[in-house]
Amino acid sequence: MELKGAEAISAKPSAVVSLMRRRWQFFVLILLIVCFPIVIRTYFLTRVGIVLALFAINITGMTLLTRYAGVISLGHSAFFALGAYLSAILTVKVGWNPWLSMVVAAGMTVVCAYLFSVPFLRLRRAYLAMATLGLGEVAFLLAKDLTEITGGVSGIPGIPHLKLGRIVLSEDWQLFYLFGCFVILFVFLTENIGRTRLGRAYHAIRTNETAAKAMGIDVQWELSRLFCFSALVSALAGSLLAHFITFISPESFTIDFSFTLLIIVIIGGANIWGTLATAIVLIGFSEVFRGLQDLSMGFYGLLLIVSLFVFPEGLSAVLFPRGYARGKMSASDLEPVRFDLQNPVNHQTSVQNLQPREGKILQLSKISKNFGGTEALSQVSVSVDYNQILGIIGPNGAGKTTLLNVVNGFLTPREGRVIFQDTDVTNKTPHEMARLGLGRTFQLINLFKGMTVIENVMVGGHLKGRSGVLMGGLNFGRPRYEETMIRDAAMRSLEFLGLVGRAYDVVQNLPFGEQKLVELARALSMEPDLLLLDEPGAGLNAAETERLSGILRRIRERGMTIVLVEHNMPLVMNLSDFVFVLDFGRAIAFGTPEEVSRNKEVIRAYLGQEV
Amino acid sequence: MVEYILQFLASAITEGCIYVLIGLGLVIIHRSTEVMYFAQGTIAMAGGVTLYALLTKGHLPLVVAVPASLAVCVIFALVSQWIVVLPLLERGVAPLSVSMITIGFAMILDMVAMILFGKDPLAVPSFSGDEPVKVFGASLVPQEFWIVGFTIIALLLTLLFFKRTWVGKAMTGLGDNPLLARASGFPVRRLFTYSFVFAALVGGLAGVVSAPISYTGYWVGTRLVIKGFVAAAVGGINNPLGALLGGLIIGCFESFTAGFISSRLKDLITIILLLLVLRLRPQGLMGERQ
Amino acid sequence: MLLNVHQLTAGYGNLVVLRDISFSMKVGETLAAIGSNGAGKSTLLWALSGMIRPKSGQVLFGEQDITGWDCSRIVGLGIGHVLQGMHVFSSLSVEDNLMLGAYGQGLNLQTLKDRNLQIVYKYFPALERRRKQHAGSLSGGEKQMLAIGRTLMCELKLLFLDEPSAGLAPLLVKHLFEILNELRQEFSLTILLVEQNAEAAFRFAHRGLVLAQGQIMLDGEARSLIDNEEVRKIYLGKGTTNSRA
Repeated sequence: MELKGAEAISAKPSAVVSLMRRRWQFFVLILLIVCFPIVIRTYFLTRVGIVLALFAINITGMTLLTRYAGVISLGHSAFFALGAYLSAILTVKVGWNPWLSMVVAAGMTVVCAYLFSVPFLRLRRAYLAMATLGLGEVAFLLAKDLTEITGGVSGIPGIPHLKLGRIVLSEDWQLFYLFGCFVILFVFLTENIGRTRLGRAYHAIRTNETAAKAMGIDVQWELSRLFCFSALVSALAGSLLAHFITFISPESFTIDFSFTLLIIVIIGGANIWGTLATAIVLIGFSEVFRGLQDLSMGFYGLLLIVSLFVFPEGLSAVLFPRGYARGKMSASDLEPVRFDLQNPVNHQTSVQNLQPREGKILQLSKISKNFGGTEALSQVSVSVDYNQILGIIGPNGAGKTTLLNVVNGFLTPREGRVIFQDTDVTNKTPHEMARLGLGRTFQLINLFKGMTVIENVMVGGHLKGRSGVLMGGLNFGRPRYEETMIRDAAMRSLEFLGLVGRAYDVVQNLPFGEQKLVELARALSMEPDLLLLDEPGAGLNAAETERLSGILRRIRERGMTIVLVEHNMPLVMNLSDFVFVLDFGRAIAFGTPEEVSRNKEVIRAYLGQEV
Repeated sequence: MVEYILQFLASAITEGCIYVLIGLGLVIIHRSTEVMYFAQGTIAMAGGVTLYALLTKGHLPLVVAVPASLAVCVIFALVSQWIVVLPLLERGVAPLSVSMITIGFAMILDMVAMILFGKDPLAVPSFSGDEPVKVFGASLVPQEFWIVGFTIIALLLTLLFFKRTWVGKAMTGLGDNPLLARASGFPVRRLFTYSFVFAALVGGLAGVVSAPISYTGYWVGTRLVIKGFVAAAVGGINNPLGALLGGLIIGCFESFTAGFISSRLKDLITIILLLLVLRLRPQGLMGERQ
Repeated sequence: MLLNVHQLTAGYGNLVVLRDISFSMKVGETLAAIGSNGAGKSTLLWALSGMIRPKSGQVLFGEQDITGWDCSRIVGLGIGHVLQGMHVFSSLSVEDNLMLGAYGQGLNLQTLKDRNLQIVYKYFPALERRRKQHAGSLSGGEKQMLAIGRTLMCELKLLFLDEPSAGLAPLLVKHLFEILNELRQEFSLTILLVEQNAEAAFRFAHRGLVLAQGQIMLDGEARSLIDNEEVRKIYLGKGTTNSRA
């Protein structure tokens, strides 16, 4: 690592020490793995260690999938089985080299995972969980019944050991070190993913899918990729299992396996270290007391229920209180990155200036939208010039939020077109709109609970990065650069809104008014051309409303265009260049605030009429 | 040929009745609480093994043993509800997570059953002997009549309960419009409890009445809940009639697959049916789009 | 004073919608609370009827402190809440919907059938005609009548109406207000009415409250609030005032 500047060196301890302090868990893990077979001399306990290692590998993928992204999978035994059986078949029946078979087995499993994810990943969480249950069962039943291929209930014996050059890995301690290496590798990958852009994206998807989409996250694609990654991990573990026991049968791949994984992840909490610790305790105990093996599932169930009452956030929160629970960033995370920069950090205290442009940034023509029998929007047309502030007002149920959702891509109009920056975007999805330069805040707070302020705002910068799961996992080179860019944009947003002091606070602890500003900061760090704001003034007191007004004016000075839906009349009337009025889904007025407030139709719409 | 079909149909109906009962319990609980009560199968199993204990060890007459077994089921369901489900729901835990936790409860009960009764299949004496009876060429054992008979009675009572009693109507209303139920001053917690009691009774009945035919034991719960769950999902997760339809459909699929193709494939067919329904019509055949 | 609200602050989660609301209602009085969305109108009813717990403040019903009470206890006192949006139990019959209005309150079944139910049918004959029909098949106006009728089953003293006119044709709204007028005279009903249609509300009510940003901006005789410039200003934002008319 290149150190830049003498001040940097003298002010901070050496980079290596700092690395060890931040990543101490890794060193503990490596130490444990290295020492374990040396200290433990018994054959039996080494076997326990091997089983643990295999579970640990599975756990890494599951933690990301279930705890971060919120996808409950009751069918990972299917991928575990696929990896094991494919490896077994390719080595025993086809005669391939075990390492090659392992790679091919993993690849084929990923394909299967992808095929499953296409139809089922879009289902609601509960239905998806049910589908994965079905998947696990199908795998088990096929393993039992396709006797020709899988050996049926008897399984496949005689699986060869893995070989490293000329060394046959048949000794338990050899296998333990090999598996240990895989554990370290996958823990490393998942830790990195969890702490960076994709980890935040998964958390965003879990806590608020709508907002995640609006920030540019392609939810289907990300979940699909993650699902396949976790399938890959399980498949590799399965292959390793096959070469360890040298014999596999359907018994090892029942629903109990999937439940055990799920329970470990639930008890373990949000952090890979917590789940690892849980796995060690659970699996370790059940293996050690193998006589009570059959009681283990009941024991797990009991632990699950007890742990939910004693530490509902999971073991991670107990082991690592105060914000490290999710591998979150703390202030000390900020410094080391400076050493890595190719370019010095750009600390402009302002949001990017946009080039002034002419013409219309947004044009809606004859937008109509129904919900069931009700017409929410009817032939609505309006256009917005660049660098303008347009206020949209109207009584309750007038269709204002519906209109925003149509522009944003959450809804497709039955009729009409939306043209954004000269492109027809009528049928585009929210994340595509984000990519085109559209930012959004929501009516009620749609922040990502459980993350800090800066992490929330960094999700706004999601589109600045392109690294995938593997690149992100390695966290070397481009992903690090992207991470810096994203953090810079986020810091600039926070500085612009005066929230830097709150950067490392967990977002739900902030007072309401500040939460609204964080949501605005998040939208700003997308560096959008057009900002859609849904009732930004709702719930703010007079002082906060003044502050908001000033901020929105400054945002416009930077070149952005703003469209806001608002009920706070003083705010919207004083701020907007033009006001657009909806009532019962129809446009009833458009003009300056002055004109609109004197318009008889508008008055009637708001105040009603004699009945 | 006709005889075969009738035979398969007979076993379809018999199996189907069990799935209907399990599924019905799942639907009633899900309708009010949105929780998928995975412990339902284990509750049914509890009924079966308790019956075994009371009949073979306790030497109690059937008339006493059956209601006693059902009572045991109700107790377990109430315990799970008071200790696990309601506190978590009231704390704001998502129904999906609570559903996962009911799996934990089921596993504990399975373990208890295993400790108490061992791992061997338990043989429960049939209610009225084992002499097969011929009906239109199909051969049926008396217990199958008990199963179908009890199921029909249970369904009729259920219908009466939901259509004619105020409690039943209130529970229906709660499932229809939870917000209005609250605003109308319904004792919501109490109504949740009734859902669990109801599910325990129908689930326990399933366990009790099927134990003599298929051996019972600690593993039975998982199998039952998966099947019952598929029945509910296929039929309509919030619709009691859906459970009836779903259970019979699953019964038919399994029975005819086992009969005409292979008995090994029957479980597979059921799961594939589940996956199809989830993909094409996740709310079930009689469910409403949510 | 039948209802006394003192320094009520309420909202959802972190969001504070109502701040320090204070007002009171006499027996037999109709009070209309108007304001645009986000002003806190529905929240006011929700906080008073037990759907949400207030964050601070006090609510007195007669002598009884009912602050933070749950819905089921509040309904028992004779306080009924008609939710916004014509809510009914769609799969149950009209008559079942009505009878369930008193469910869980320990009232005598026969009395309910002989007296309360008949009163509802007297004032809403359309409901009697459709008593066995599924509530889901009713028209919008009929559903609204059903929702109001439900509250009459429980010895109603204080009625909360959340935007009763929303989604209804003007003629229906007129009819509805006429029936409400008869009901309040017959049973000395106290009514707290939340409305977007300010003009109609003020013609029906004795007093009016104008809410904005969670606070009471105006509180006065309904008559004086009709065609009132102040009200218009508050709605359309050209200046806010805090005067008591």
